[in-house]
Amino acid sequence: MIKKPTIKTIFVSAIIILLALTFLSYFRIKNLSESASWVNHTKNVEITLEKIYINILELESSHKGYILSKDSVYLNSLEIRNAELDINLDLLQNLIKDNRGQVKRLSEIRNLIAKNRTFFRGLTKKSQSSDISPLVWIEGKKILDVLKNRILEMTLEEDKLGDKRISIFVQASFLTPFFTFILVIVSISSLIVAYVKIISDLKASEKLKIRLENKSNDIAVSSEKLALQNIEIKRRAADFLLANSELAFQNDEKEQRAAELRLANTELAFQNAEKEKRAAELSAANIELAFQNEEKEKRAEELRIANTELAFQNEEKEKRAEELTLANKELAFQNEEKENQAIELKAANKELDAFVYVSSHDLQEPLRKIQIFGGRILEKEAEVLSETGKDYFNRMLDAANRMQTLIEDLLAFSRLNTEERIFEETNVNQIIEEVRTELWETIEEKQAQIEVEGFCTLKIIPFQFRQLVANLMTNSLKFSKPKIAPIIKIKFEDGENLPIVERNKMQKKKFCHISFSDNGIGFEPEYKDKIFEVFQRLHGKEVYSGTGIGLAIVKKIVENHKGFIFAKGVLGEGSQFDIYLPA
Amino acid sequence: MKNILLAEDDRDDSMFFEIALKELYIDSSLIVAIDGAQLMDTLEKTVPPPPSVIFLDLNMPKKSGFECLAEIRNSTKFKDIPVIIFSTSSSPQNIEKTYDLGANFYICKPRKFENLKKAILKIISLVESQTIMQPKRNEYFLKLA
Repeated sequence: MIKKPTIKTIFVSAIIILLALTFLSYFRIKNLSESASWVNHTKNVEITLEKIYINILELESSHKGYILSKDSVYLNSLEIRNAELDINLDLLQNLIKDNRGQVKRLSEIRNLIAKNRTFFRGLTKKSQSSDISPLVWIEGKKILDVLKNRILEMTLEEDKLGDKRISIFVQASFLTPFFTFILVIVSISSLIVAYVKIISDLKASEKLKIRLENKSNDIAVSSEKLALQNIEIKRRAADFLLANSELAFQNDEKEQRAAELRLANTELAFQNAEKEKRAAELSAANIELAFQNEEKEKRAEELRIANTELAFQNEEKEKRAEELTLANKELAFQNEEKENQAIELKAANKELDAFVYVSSHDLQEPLRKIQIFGGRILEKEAEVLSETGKDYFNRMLDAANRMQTLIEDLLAFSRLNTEERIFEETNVNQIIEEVRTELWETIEEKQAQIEVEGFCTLKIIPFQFRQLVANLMTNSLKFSKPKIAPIIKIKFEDGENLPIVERNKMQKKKFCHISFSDNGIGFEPEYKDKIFEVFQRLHGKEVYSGTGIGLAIVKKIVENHKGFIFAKGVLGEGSQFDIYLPA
Repeated sequence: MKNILLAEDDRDDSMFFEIALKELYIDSSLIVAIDGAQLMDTLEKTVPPPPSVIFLDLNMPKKSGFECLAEIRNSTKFKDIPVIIFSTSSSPQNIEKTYDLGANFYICKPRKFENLKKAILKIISLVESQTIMQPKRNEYFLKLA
């Protein structure tokens, strides 16, 4: 690519050309003035030569005048002419000093002048004493003629030089303006080139300037943005500093934690090894699972179909849910009603308990009278009674006795509610022994075996628990199979096999399990709950006596201890009562 | 000669008691108070000398047997008189309460006349031998099997 000439190169080259031309012009002018001065010089030499010639002529005439007139006026002029001649000679000497030919001629002229002077001085002296012969004048004329020739020679020589010098001057006076003209032309053209170049550069720079201005506007805008960003960044930096110190603190914490983690890592590495073993086992299991997965995918397809069905059912259920919400509101209202009723019932129950207790107690008085009076009549008035009368009396007393038992049982049952419940840490085995002693007569009679397995101490209400044991034992003895010795087994176990439903009802999780089992007549399993209800009898009074309250009392006592009782019976094989009491 | 005091509001029961004493041939004089208030009045009037023994029913009008027992045991004049509870009730609560109040024995009114006689005889014989003191708790309730 060709580089465009810059202003700098244009100026530099213009200056160089101008300088060169200036030097040339300078030398040309110098030449011209030199040649002019040489022309002048020649004229000066010729003029001086003429003056010298005139001076010599004047000197001769003055000498001649003095000699002739002896007038001293001529002497004065002689001296002035001599001085002038010397000055002109020196002047000429100075003008022609660099031209040897002329200098030689001048010295000849000086000698001739000196001869002339010497001649005229001798002549002057002679004139004072005698007259001068004309011959003597001719001698003088000869000297003057030689002098005249010599001066002419010099003038001719100078004329020759002057011609040469004039031709040089003419040449120079033609060349010098030519050079000056060229200089002017070159100067003007380089100015024009420079001007054009400057104009084009100015245009270019104007364009650049506009672009720069646009750019600088953009830059100003972005500068403002940057300034804003700067402020934001400073703010952020402050935040970062705070965060940094926080992070530094956290770092310390984390390093501590890291140390702990390293320890934990070692532990984990060990566990990892264990897990890898397990993983191997699991991969075997995985293969099995993959097979099962296939099966499940089949099942999933079936389930998708079922899902569609369920979605439909869901809709139905949502409708139903709405109905249920309404029903719920109704139930909430009823619930409130029932709570109120429950409070009323509690109060009523209390009254009822008191009523049962009092009435049972008061019923005993007349009953006892019937019993005593009946007994007194049979004892004291037997002889006056017929056999039928005695039979009736006996039946009456039996009925009275049954009523007594009934009242006593009822009283015991109602007492379970009204009595204060005092729990004591009690040895259950001891209570069983006491009951066994109490019932020894029946036990002997039936030849019953009572086996107690284990040992137990519980926090119970001792009196009530004694009654419980007595009632269960009496039951087993009463409902034994005819002609077979009853075997009663009492076992203490921990309450692990308490049904979950019951366990969940209780805060307490530990239970003691006491089981009473016998080899008696048992009962049909369907009665397992009914036998605990008051006045529920499974057998006729004629076969087995009893009030139907015994087991109700047992259940009540267990409930008073916050326990559970379950009956299990197999008809003809025996029955078992499982009691769970909180340990 | 024994001075026996019976606090009993039931006429039949006091009759049975009287007959039993008679049939036992016990040399005694029986005073019957028909309620608790009358019992205390009688005591105030007759003591000294104190009665040999008091048979005390619990369920009585005006003043219950418990109140009478408490008053007797809290009085300097009567506190040494043997008191036998004679009640229809055999409730453990009553038995406990009267034991704590300081009664000497507890008899549940029998349903057979013979048992009544046995009970009275036992008490009288104890009074006669002057060994009647409050027994241990488990011997306090008199069993008449």
